[in-house]
Amino acid sequence: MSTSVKRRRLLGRFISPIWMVLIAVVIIAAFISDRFLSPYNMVTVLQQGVVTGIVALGMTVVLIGGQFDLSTGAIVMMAAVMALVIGPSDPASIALAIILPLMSGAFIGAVNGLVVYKARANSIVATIGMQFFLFGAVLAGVSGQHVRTDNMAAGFSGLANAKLFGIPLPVYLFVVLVVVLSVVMDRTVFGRHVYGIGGDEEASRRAGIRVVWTGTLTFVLSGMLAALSGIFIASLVGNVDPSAIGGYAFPALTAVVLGGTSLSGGMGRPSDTAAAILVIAVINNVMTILNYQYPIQLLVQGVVLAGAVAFYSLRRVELAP
Amino acid sequence: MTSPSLKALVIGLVIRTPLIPLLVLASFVPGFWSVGNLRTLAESVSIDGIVVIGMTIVMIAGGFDLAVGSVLAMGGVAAIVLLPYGLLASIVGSAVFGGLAGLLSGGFVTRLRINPFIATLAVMVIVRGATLAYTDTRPVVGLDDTFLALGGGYPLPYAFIAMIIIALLGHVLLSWRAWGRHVYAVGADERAAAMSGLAVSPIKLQCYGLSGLLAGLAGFLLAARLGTGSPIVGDATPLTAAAAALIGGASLRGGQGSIPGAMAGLLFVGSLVNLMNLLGMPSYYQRMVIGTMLIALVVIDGVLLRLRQR
Repeated sequence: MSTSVKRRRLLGRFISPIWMVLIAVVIIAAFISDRFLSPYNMVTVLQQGVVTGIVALGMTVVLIGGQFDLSTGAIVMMAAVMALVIGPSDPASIALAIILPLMSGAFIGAVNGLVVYKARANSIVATIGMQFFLFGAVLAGVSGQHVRTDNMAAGFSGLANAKLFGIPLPVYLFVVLVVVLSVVMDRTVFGRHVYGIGGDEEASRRAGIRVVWTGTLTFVLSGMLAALSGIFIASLVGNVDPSAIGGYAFPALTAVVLGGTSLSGGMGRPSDTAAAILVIAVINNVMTILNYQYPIQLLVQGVVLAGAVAFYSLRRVELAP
Repeated sequence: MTSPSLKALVIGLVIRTPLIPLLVLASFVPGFWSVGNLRTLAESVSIDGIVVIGMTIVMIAGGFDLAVGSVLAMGGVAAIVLLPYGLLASIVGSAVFGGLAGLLSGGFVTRLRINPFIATLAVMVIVRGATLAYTDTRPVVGLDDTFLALGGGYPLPYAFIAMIIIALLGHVLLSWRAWGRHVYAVGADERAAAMSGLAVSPIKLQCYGLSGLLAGLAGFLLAARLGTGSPIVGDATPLTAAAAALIGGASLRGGQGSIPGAMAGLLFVGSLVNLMNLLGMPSYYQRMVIGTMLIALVVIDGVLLRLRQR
């Protein structure tokens, strides 16, 4: 391999097209509204981006393995409701309000993973089925009512609200997660195996990779990250309408696809998903500033998803031999 | 496959689509076989049923249509909005809007070669967003006597009669016309179908267009029944439709399924939901049951594939 190609690849490792898009979107946003670059607004953008972003990171890993996890929206909701129902008022209940949702998220991920990898079910329909099941189960559990906790301990509400140098804690955690996941996907056996399974599941199986084990772990990871996101929501607002907060799977999927993760698996990077999350958060933020409400934001997201899929699939056709 | 023998039919209705066992069980629930309840059942399955027909055709062609729910909502809104221009404009308009949304899905799938689930997911969100934006998230109301009368019908609801007619037409199209054989061929093995000279892309495009058109028409009938076009209905429709088609013998891998089968599957799902209502179970539990059923169905779908590969 010649040095120039090597240098280009090295550069490409850190700067993929989506980061350019992010820079462009931020510049455009700054021109559209002078409120955009205000510190308060930047924190809002980050805060909104991170909640979806954590979900998207897990979905990225699942999609690199060649599968979809659309149950994440319901897991976010379940975790938020669980944390609030437990009612974190003292250190013991705070620990419980964090550990129990995470474990439930992991368990649901494990079920998803086994259904998809062991029983070979179509992951999109299976995880949508799981989403339905969870929505029904949680709504039945709380009889469709709002959940809130009156005496939330400062320690728990601090999880999402506390700030270090003016930036909320979850943002730091998100950065740490991106770095850790990047290293895990790039440098560990597990990560390599996930790319392998996504590239060619049958070949991976024949090469001795434990496909069911590794694949199920990706779903477990995704379930836990979605639950983490739900815990942050619970901590952030302390009051959740279970029937209104299920919509996290779609923006997260849009970000994963926009970040360049291949729909057929085997390609993608957590850091690119992070950039895509910020792109979407900036677009949504500007639309909110310009007073375009939820329906238009939904419409734009659908167009972004279709556009991103079309862009990458056309590019792949061109690159193909 | 085109003309199932009596034995196959019995096996199908007892084992593959356990409709007969379910109906026997239902006899123990008081009120199930009453005329009033049967009419409720017919009314509740008819809207989804029209959607199921389109979904089944798309699934036979090896695709999937997640957009049917939001297209249904759009069809309902279009029906009400176009009502002042006459009943015909209302019917044709909702069907045309639905058909266009279906063609958009089909275009993504065939021209851009996008995975059908993701393509129709994007269209689902685009259509939902557009409908919500157009109506400002509020239901639109239509008051026209003929229009509202179309939402009723006694003893059989007109929507149910429409479903039966469309199902018969669809069955004839799939089983007795060349087009139907082409759809099965495309779904079973796209490459082989292309090599045998079939115009694969147009056939798939037509399937998606048909599915959208039927979903739009279903939206019209729902709006006629409710007297309103709500932009938020139909979030469970793609799942119910997929469950019915899967129970009725369709596969996520294409090339299989039939409209009579899907109708049996629809009756199964509809009777199950109806029973849960009769037993007074809250709708949350119904969601749980549908979700579980869907997971079980795709697991069975996967297992059947592995058995066949052996």
